[in-house]
Parts: sequence; structure tokens; C-alpha cells
Amino acid sequence: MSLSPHTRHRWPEALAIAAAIWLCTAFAHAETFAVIVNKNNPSNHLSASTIASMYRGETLHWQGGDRIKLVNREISAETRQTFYFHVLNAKPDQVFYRQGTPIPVQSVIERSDDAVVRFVGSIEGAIGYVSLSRLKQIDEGLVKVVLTIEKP
Amino acid sequence: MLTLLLRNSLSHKLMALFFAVFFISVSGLTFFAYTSSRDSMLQEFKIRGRTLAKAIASEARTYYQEQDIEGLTSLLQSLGEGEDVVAILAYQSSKTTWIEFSGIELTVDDLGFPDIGDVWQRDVALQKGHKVSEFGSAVVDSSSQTRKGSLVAASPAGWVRVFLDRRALQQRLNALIFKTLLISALITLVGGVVFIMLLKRSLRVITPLIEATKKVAQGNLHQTVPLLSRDELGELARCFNSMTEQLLTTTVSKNYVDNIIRSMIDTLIVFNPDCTIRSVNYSALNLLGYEERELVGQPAAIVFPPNECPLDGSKNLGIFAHGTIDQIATTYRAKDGRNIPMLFSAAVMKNEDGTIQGIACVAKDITELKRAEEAIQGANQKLKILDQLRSQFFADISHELRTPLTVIRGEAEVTLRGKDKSLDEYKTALGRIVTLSNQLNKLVSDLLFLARSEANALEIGNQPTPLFDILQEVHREAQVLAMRHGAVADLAAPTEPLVVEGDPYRLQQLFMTLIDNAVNYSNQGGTVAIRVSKSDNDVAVIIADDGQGIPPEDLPHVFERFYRVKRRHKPALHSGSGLGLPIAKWIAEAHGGTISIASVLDKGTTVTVQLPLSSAERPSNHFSPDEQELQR
Repeated sequence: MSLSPHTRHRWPEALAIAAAIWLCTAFAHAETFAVIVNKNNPSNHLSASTIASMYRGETLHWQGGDRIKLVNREISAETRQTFYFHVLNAKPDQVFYRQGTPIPVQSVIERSDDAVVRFVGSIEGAIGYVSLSRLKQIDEGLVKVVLTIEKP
Repeated sequence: MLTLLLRNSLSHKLMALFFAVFFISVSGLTFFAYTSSRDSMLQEFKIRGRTLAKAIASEARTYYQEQDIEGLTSLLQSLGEGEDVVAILAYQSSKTTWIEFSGIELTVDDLGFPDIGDVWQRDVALQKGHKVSEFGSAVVDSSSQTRKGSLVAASPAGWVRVFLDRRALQQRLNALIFKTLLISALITLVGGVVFIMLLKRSLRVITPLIEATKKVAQGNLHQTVPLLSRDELGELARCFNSMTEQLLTTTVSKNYVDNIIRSMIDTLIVFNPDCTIRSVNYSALNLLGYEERELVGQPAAIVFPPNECPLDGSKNLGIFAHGTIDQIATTYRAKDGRNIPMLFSAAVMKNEDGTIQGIACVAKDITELKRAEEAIQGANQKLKILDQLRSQFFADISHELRTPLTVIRGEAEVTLRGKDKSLDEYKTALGRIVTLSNQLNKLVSDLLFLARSEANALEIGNQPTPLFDILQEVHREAQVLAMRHGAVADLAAPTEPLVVEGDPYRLQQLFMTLIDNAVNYSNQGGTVAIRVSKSDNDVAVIIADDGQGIPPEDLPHVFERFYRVKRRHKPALHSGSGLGLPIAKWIAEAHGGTISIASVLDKGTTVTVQLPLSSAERPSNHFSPDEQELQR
């Protein structure tokens, strides 16, 4: 169960998406996005690899022992594409499995940056990612940024 | 190919049968096991889905009441940990999506509330191609549930949808199929191997049985097969052994018959109904000089001279109608063209249904028989001639004995009749009577001599005898005899003693007989010449006359007893007894010599007597005759 057969059959689509990403990186102006956690989360800074291990299902708990609640954007979202590409080094529809098991790593799907911020702000163990510019517009002090990633 | 294989081998047939039955039963069992396993797996899958949805719904009640997103998220996170749980959706009472918790991509269409009751389950294909089973359950407030009795329908606080991946189920089913098929194949294989081993074990008596049966069919009855089992096949092998044993004692094997045919002295040729040669025995090949392959398959005419084949002719009239030919004389034609007289018998061999199987011809070479027959006939002919000669002789001898007796009696009667006669007349008559008596005496002596010689009662002296003296004595008497016939006897001999070992009286008798003959057969004024020539070891006495000779047809027979050459000119009275020459021959041979005769008609006869010289008279081997002369 390494790679879902559905993704395997969608090579052309994946290629198209890859081409879109390339186009975006080529033409869109540079955008920075932020990885955010609840303001009560004791962690102030997380490295990219730590975050990647969470999303890959390798790390399940925060240091305090709470379960990490992953928040993702839907697969078609540009933010998710960027995040998967730069942090997880994977395609946005990649399904990860908990280490050593066939149990897929599941996440709460929010369909806008606002919803992500709202969800992370209301749930302590949550972690998500949003566009930094949008975060600044709607910041209510409920979340804190643990990592910012410059999109080249 | 397969059908050929199946048709030719019992074990293959049984194997095919076994595999068919075994395969069908294993397949049936496999199918049964698979379907029941699949059904139970599906059942379990559905129960799990429903239970999960219900559990989430009942656990989520308080979170719904308190609108606790964190709690609900934790709940979904903990309960949704299953390998086939791909997404859990929580809806609020307004039927809008509250929490989307998933590991796969859901579109907005998938998120829409289906609104098909409080509890549901269905199989759906999601927009992005995932095949899932969906289990839904309403989250019902317990307080409203307790009030259910009073209120008709309390609207639920929300709904929970659980998506279970059917792909995992499918994979498990596939694994199940694979495992059952594998086990079935393994069972079939192991069962087949065991079955084949058992089958081979029980059928191994068949191969030697087939071999042995083939050999029996070829005529070799000394066959036994090993008894390997106690089942029906073992019984068959036992019966086979007892059958060959019985056959050996009750019938003759082909080998036995072949040996008989091979050792037959007579020729045996078996023909097919179309008169071609089927088989030939050794005697026939030997007699005719053919190789077996040269004859088999050839038409019958090859062994018979042209147009003499006794099997030819209309098939309805010939041997085929009659059935046998019994002992006819016919002829075989050998390879080198010789015709061999044969005593020939033939018999038609018929099957039980009367069809002709072939013709067996036995023939015997009667060449020797024919030759012996001819020899016997020849001997018989000779005996007849001899018998004739003997009766002729007896007639002659009686005649010759009677003639002088008649003359003597006549002479005496004539002399005694009438008046007295002068003394001279009596003297003459008595003289003639004496002559005739002498003649009779001689004849009787000859007969006596022969009778004695035949009885081996004659004794021949064995003393050194000077031949020259005998010849001179003989010559003297010959001159007297010759003078009476108006002929001359002439002796020409070396003045040597010429000593031979023998009996002087018999030798004189020998030469006198020959000279008497010569004088008798010589003409008036003829000459009887006596010549003597000496060589190293023997002496030859040649007595030649220039008389009438002997006809060539009589010449070979003159030494036979009682054989008399028919005289042309002289009356029978003066002919000899027919005993002189046989006596002469007997004497010559008794002395170790030979006698031979040569004659030309009207020119004369020459008789040569060859006698061995006495060993004292012979020259020594170490000296030449010249040296011998000097020594003397």
C-alpha cells in the first residue's frame, strides 16, 4: 500500500498539477505562508522536518502528551500544494500512513484560510498552515506562528 | 494427442478420472469455502461500519450539545483509527458540514448531506473515484429520546457519516481467493501424487503381464509374471501363470513345432491360398539351394519346373476342391536349375469356418531311390543274362557230353554189328573211341577244376619254377597240335630260366589252354607265335595267332565262365567248353599275374599273360641291369 492506484492512474493530472505549480512559482509574486498552532501551545518554534514528521504520521503527540490534530486544506487548494511540495516533499493528494501500520493519517479538512485559523484558534492540539498575508488580516491573537516559509 | 494418450493407457485414464473427480470436488469445496468466507466478511464489514457509525453518534451526543469541536475532533480521531476508515463527516442539525475528517480528497458534492433517514448504509463511488461504503447515523439527544413517547419526532442534533474503504475489503477477498485457490491446488497436487503412487503400485503388475502375453502370443510359453499384490490384478497374474503352465503341459508351443519342422528330413513348403510361398523349412532350403528370403512371398512356380506346378490349375477342380494330394511323383526345380524328383504330398489347411489358410506340402527327395531302382533293375537284367548263359551252358555241356558218348556208342555198335572185321578195323575203331574218351575226360576235368576253384579247394604250388622249361615243353606240344591243324607254332624267348614262384603243372595248363585256343582258331597254314619279354619285375608271355579273331561284342565276355564265342565257320563239335579262358584267368591271377586279350576280327588274336618274377630273379634295387650283367 505504498501508492494508491487512483493516484497511479492519474499521472497526467498529476503532471498537469506539477506544471501548474511550476507556472505559479514562475509567474505569481512571491508569497509567504505560516504554520500556526493554538496560542496555548507551549511550542514557539518548530522546524520544517518536525512539522513534516507530524503530517507524515511519524509524530502523533505533542511534547505534553496531547494528540496532534492535523488541519489540512482541501487537495485543490494552492496553499496545500505549496505546503506539501515544500515541507512534505510530496504531491498534495499523497496519503500517508501511520508508521508501521496500514492506518491512514487523517486530518481535519478546512476549506478556507479563515476556517483553518478559526479551527486552530479554538482547538489546543491543532496545527495548520495558512497564507501569512491572510493571517495578518484576520489575526485575532488566537494562534501563533511557529514557522514561516518563503515561497521562492 | 490427449485422446490418444487416454486411449492407450489405463493408468492415464484412471489418472484423468481421478483428477476430474478430485478437481471438481476440491473446486466445489473451495467455492463453498470462498463464498461463505466472503459473505461472513461482508457481514462483518457491514456490522463494523454500522457499529462504528452508531458508536460515534452516541459518543458525539454530548459534544453536539456543547458544540465542543475539540472533543468531537478527538473522538473522531480516536474512533476513526482503522485501516479502512477513509473519512468521517459530522453534520450539524442544519445539515451543514461541521467537521470534515479525512485522509482522502472529498469534493463539495461528496460533502453534501444525503438526507435519507436517521440511520443508513450504502455503497457509493466518490467523485474522485474512491469506492466506499457509507454508514450514517443520527446523533439523537438523549433527553429528547426520553421524551420520545410524548413527541412524535424530535429532530436530531446532527448526523455522522463514516466512509469505509471497500478496497481493503476487496484486497482481503482477493487474498482469500488466492489462499483458497493455492490450498486447493496444493491439495490436488498432493492428492494426485499420492494417488498416482498408489495407482502405479497397483498397476505395476500390468506391464510385465503385457510383455509376457506378447511373448506367449509369439509362441514362447515359458513365461511367468511376478505376483505383487493380492487384489484382482494379483489374481490375474496368478491366473496367467497357471494358464501358461497349463498351456505348456496341454499344448505344444510354437517353439516346439518350429523345432519339429526344422528337424524334419523331408522338405516342407507352406503356400498361401494365392499360391505364394509362406514358409520353407531347412531341408527344403538345403535341397533347393535357396535362402529363405529368396523364396518367401514368391509364386509357387519358382520351385517347380515350368508348367509342372501341381498347385496350378482351376482352383475349383484342383487341390482346393479335393483337399489333399497324396504321394504323387513330381519334380522340384532347384536354384541351379537341377530337376529333383520328389515324392510329393500336400494338404489344404482350413480354418474352423472353412476358409483356406494355406497349403502344406511335404515332399521327399527320391533321387537316391530312383538310382537304387535303376541299379536293381540293371542287376536284375544282368542276373537274367547270367541265368540265360548258365542254362545255355548246361544245354551245351549236356550236348557236348552226349555227343562223344553217342559217337563212342555208335562206333562200338557199328564195329560189333555184322561179321567179324579185320584187326585193323577194330584198332581204328578203338583208337577213335580212345580219342573221344580223352575229349570227354578233358571236359570233365575242366568242370572238376572249376568246381574245385569255386570251392577254393584247389592248391597252387609255390615253388621256384623256370618258365623257360615250361614254355619249351608247351612249344613241343604246340608244334604237334599245330601240325594237326596245318599250322606252325613258333617260340621266341630269351634263353634265361625266368624263374617265377608257382605251380609248374598249372602254368603248363595255362599256356596249353591258350595255345590250344590259338591253334583251334588259326587258319590253315597260319602261325601261332609264342613271344616272351622280360621287364624288371615281371615276365610277359604273348601268344598270338593270325586266325579269325573274336568279334568286338564278344571280347569283353571271353573271360566269363561258360561264355562261348559263336563260331561262324566251324561246327559246334570242335568248339571249346567255354571254360578254357576262365580257367586260364584263374590260374594267372592265382599266381599274382594278369591276363589280357586283344583281337581284331579276321586278323588274329593276341593273349598276354603277365607273371611276376621270383624275388630272387628280380634285380636288386641298388643295381642297374647293366651292373647286374657285369656281376654275373
